[in-house]
Amino acid sequence: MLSAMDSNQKRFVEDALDLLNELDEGLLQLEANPQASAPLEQVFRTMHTIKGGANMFGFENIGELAHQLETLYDLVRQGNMQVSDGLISITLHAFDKVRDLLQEKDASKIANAESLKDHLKIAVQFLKSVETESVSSASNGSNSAITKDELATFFIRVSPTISMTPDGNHPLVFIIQDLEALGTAKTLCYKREDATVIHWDIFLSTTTAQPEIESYFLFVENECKVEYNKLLACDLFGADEFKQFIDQFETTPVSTEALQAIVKKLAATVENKTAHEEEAESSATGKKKFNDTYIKVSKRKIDDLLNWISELIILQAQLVNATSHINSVEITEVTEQLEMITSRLRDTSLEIGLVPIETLVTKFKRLVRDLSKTLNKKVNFLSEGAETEMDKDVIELMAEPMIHIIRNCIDHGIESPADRKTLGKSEHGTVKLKAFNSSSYVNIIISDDGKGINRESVLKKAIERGLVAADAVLTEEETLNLIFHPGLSTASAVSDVSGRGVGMDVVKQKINDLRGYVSIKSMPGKGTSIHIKLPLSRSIIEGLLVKVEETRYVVPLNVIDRIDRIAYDTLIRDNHVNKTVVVNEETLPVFSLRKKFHNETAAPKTTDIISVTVNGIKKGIAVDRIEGKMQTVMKPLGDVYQHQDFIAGSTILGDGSLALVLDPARLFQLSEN
Amino acid sequence: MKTDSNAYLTFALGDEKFAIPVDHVQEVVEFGQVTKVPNAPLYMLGIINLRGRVLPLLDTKLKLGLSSTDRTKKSRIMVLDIHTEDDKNIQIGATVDVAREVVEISANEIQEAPEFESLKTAAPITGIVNRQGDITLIMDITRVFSVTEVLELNRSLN
Amino acid sequence: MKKTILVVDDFASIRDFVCETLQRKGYETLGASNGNEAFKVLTEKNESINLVLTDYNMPDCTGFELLKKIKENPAVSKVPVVFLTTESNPDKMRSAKEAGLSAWIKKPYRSETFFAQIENAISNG
Repeated sequence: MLSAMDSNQKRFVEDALDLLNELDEGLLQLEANPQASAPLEQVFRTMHTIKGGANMFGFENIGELAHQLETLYDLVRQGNMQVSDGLISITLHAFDKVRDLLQEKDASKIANAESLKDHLKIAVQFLKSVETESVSSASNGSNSAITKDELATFFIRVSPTISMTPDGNHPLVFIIQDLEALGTAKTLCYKREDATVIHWDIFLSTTTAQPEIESYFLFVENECKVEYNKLLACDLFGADEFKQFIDQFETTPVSTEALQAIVKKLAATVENKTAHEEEAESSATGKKKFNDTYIKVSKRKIDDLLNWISELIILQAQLVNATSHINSVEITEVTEQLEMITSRLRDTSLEIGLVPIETLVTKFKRLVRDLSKTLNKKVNFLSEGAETEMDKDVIELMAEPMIHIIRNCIDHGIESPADRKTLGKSEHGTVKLKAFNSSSYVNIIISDDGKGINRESVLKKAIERGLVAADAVLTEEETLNLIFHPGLSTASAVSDVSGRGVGMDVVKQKINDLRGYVSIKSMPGKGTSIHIKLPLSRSIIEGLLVKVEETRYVVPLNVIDRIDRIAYDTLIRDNHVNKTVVVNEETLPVFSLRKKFHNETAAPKTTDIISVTVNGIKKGIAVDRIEGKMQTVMKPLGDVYQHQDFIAGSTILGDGSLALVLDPARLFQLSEN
Repeated sequence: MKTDSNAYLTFALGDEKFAIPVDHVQEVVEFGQVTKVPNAPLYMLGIINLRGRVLPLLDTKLKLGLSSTDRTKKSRIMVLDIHTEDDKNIQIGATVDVAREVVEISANEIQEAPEFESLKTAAPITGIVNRQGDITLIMDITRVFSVTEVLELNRSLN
Repeated sequence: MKKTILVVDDFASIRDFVCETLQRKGYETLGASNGNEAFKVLTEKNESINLVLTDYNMPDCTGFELLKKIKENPAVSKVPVVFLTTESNPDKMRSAKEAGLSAWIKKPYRSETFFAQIENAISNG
């Protein structure tokens, strides 16, 4: 038996991993919309494809598992089974196992794996149970009406016929709580003087059908009387008027006439609103449907291609330099053309390595779903801009940090449904991921509408741990940035879900290593948002070329706010490298490259100040002279220069000399010495 | 690192003659423009442009703890390809006062180096060749330029 | 006196978990992996079993079939039967109620509801 994989098997594994991602996406969509046919078809098709490939390439165990699950979904397609939480869960878990298996390099290990047997058993069981059900329901002659998944608001009055208290142990009490969990609910409890319950009035908006709601009281029929009233086929809790209306019934019983009146009134307005929302949704999903053909290319080929393009760009600059003194119209024309084409090549090459962050988004959806179940929180995950493109390597490197941030949002940020209710928020919290491009950066904003960060406790902890002086006065921004300090963890006990070895300091470090930026904003009670900025390309940069003594530096363009020229004297009042000067009528701390690194020759009369904003802080860099704007390929300095990380790399200028590319954030860290 | 060929590149640092296996040497070039990278230890002279490649340039003598001598017309840069102990391949330029020939040295000519390091220089030596009083020290270049060591020195100086 | 509950489920892990949960609350438990085995245990130990807690979907003999068997046998028909299942179909629930089921607990369950239903079923049958 071959242990190494042949190229066909390798190809299958690659394809399968992509398909599994699509499958996850489809399953999550199906879970949210159990009646929707498009995700159902996609899920069915994807499983079918996986099954075919697995069987063909020697992974029969995977094929069999896919076959069993495919059969289940076929039943759904035929209308003989409904999508349920159980079905989705076993499917997700089964294919998670397949995904894990496919990471093995050894084909025989995959084919012989025992680990799929459990999932196969579960799938077979599920199938059997469904089949027995459909048999028994057919024999009972009952017609399990597949009711449409409709959102509706109900008014339910539950009157116990035996005596019980609302905090007692009678099952009815818990049944009412279970009802509330079916959606958004407001329960009013009317008691007698002896604290026993007269009746409960429940307003419930849910997608659960009425027969199922009624079934909750089936086994307590002898102990209570239940009246059902379907108010309207929509979520009335969305209307402020409705919420205010029911608030007035805290102590007095609900008047059914008043209720009918307001429902009638709202019926018109609310229905209009939902119609609008559905329209907007369909046009938004419509956008995603553009079709493009994709081909698979080996990453190595792409890297080679990009390397050659970089060399070409350098060569082109050298050509311009070498021919600059030659006065020939023809040569000038050709070099200008060459420059334009090289520039286009550069832009295209930048895009080749970019892929949309969609795959990450699917991973996050999954994460949010699993985490909210584990932590007993209700969380919605929204994403905007999943089509935004990023360097593939960067996406892979950023996956973990972003997962950690989202974990934090759900674990520490979003409150429990009960707490949220008490605070007047909707029981479902929201975690949102927004991605977009700006200049040559990709922006990713992850936000939640949870309880925000408690600045006082952060500051207190920082002082306790000696990170900050006891009497230090910090700005809001500086306090929040303490979160990124390795010495600080806001969870008092390391919760099992997050906080294991990955901290916000590691997140920041990884982002810094990618020469990106991260900042954090938070409002107590309202939520927190984390803004990550990453450069689109790690090797091609735009910047200002500057000179200090004989050395040339490049300051990356995207952090530059403005440039000014001042008298050099202004900088030499003290012996420090850092000096605060007035620039553009504002005071600005300035870091002088000359004072820090070069001090041999006499300084020129004036010095150019480049104002930059880094990590939210404004600072100036003083240089002898700014020589011009440029765009070029950056080359790393090499491992030996790891500690000189304030230099991001070097670049070869047209005349063959080297310029050092600065990393302003790290440069300013030096100035602390 | 074990080498099958017995070819060594010889060079001089001050008065001493050294040799390293040619496997490590890509080429020997003359000095050109060196761009200094600030805030680095003295033996890290900066970076050079070698036909479109950017290489770090290290002063071998300073790295070994000797005082450097002025650059002369004979000074050269050895472009080295080193496989470090931490399993990386790095390329660096290392300065020498005089670059000499490539010579054949057979294994039986190499005598074990005495326990204490080289006589006049503090170089890690793997062996000594004595050809009628003409002494060549075989240098362990991976140890001289091990990245970890460089970084540690770097860190302690900073 | 401690009450004894017979837990029936063909998945050993679920059965063990439920038994553990009940034991921590102070119940004695017995386990069976299918309806036939459960019925056998029940008829043998009938005096000492206070409740049968069973899954609905099981091979060979479903929970529903077990329920019918128990209620049709006068020797054991007084023992309350409770289903613990992911099933939530109202028609099935009604059929089960008519066949004599004491309570229907849906999975996943909250422990308060779970124990309240069980205690109620044991006390009131």
